[in-house]
Amino acid sequence: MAMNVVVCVKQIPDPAAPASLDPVTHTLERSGKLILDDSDAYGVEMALQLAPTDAGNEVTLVSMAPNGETSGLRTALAMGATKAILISDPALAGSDALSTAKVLAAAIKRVEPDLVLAATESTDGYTGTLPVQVAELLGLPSVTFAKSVSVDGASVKVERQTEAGYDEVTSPLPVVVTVTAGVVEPRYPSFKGIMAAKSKPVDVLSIADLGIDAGQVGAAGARQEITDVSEAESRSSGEIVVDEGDGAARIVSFLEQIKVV
Amino acid sequence: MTSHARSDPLVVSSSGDQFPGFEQDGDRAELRALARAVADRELAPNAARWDENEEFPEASWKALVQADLTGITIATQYGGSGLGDVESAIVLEELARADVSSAILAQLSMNGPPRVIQHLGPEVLKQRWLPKVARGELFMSIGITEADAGSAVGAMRAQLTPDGDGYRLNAYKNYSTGGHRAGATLVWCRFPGSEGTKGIGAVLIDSSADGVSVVGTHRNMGLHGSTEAELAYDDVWVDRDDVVIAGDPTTADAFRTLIGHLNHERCGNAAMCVGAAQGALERAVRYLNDRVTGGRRLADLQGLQWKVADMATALEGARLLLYRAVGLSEASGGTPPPMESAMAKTAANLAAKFVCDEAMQLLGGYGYSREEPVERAFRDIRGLCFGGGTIEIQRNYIGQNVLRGKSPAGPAWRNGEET
Repeated sequence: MAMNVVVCVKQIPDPAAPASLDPVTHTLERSGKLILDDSDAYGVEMALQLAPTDAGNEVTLVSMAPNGETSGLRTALAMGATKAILISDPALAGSDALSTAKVLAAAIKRVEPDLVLAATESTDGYTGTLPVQVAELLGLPSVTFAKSVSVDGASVKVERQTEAGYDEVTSPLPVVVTVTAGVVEPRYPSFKGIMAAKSKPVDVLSIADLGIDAGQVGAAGARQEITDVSEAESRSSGEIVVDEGDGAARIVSFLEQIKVV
Repeated sequence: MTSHARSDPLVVSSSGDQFPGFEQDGDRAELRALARAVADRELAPNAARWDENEEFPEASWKALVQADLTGITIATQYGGSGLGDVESAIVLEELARADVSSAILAQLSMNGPPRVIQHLGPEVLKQRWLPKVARGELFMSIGITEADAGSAVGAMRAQLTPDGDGYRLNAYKNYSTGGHRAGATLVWCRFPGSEGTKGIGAVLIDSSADGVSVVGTHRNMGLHGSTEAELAYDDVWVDRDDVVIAGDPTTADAFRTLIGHLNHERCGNAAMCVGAAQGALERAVRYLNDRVTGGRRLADLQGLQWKVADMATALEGARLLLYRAVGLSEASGGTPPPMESAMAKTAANLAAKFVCDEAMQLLGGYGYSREEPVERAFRDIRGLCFGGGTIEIQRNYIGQNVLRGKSPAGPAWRNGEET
């Protein structure tokens, strides 16, 4: 049976480039070119392995980004995803995690997926709350921190990473699953894939297209506000001990002092 | 994953994307980013292992295949991407920046025998072999050099003799890069009645054919991952369909056409030298910026700044000559023009020797260590100064033609004709 998988994909400012914060909202400046968040490449790869698109399955990317930005989506399409939905609307500026979840959930609902995959957290915001909010809004179960995912008929089997090892979790489909980095090795977007991605459909939607009221999202609908940002304190350098023949004894003394030995 | 393709603010810009007339935006920029991602992710971390163990870079090959980089110059009807010399130069530059041995595998597929087969071979041969190259099922090697026929190719002894509807090949080829791992080899040989360069043509020989044997492989100073093989052909059956270009004993036309096709390889060779030198320069620049002696960064010392200036200038000069040659090839639809190719290869070979040597000097003892990629690049690029025609042969060609009043002109081959 053909599967319909959605992958939540975040497009973020290139971490290799200097980041800047908006002086008024204190949020990350994301007006420039955005790229595919590394952590989402794992979800895309997982989707492509669970639902190979050459076997009639569909992998749909869902993303929210300003200025109609699609660079990161094209990377994921080049890896092999079938199509993408981008929600881009000036009213979304200043959205918090819950607002974003509302928007993504509304878009995901249109696709009626069997499975929704997402990273455990993004590598720019790190809130790690969005996937479960999406699941709640869609009325779906969620399984987080998957280190292995397999689909068996109408259910999904997940090995869920824990501090002690992993839990084996089974859930009926549809379900929202977050995958950890390292769950799979993301493939290269091959050259032919890059060329093919240029003509794959990207459906760009506004919040009106999703029937969402502007007051519910963006800065207007945000439940959180960043009131201040300050520089992290620089760490003081540690104590330098020069060995004058008593180095070993002083190391032991130090370790005893911090109760290591 | 994508982080590997990102720019590193510490390193010198490696590009070619700013040259007037050689625009490398759009698809070419994406191709460069892909090649760099493959190089950073798969080639660079393993390059020391291939080198130290003299091991075929299997993981590099798989990565190149996965990224569709082996078939970019093969026509789309045979499963390739239908691109040309500019794109192959871009890819080779990026791959060699990380590992020249691995880049050579791409060079063989992009600029080696498949190019010749595609331009000159019979349709049945193209359909039999090119899709396999495009899919990365195999790569092909080249058999030109013999014990007594190096730069003097016309002295070769490899001989075809008629046998029924085909031929029998008896030959002993040396310095066939990757010949011990290749799925097939393009063997330059004499057709019946051949003498001198007249009658020299080329046939494609399946490595699994009866009578083909790998006599040995060379243990070289560098390029340990893609070493050269000695190949013996003992009464090997050659079907008429395996003839890529037949030698006519009354003319040297086929030989000249084959020489013209070497210009793809020469430009690829230049691209690898430019890439390897770029990598070495970046290592040196990073070190000079980081290393502090007597309270000053090495980068602040004028004597070292001048070294870097000379290195960067030599490198950029070679790069410009390279992209002029491949740009002209693209414009003409033929092979890269011989004069520009010879100049590009000469300049790139010399620049790579100079830049890698100076980078090692700047890195001091670190640069001499086998833990430092510059040490490997220094040895690897040395081999590129022989392959595809020595620096001296290129100079012969350039010098003789300049003295005859010739200036850089069109392609060496176009639509089956020579110029």
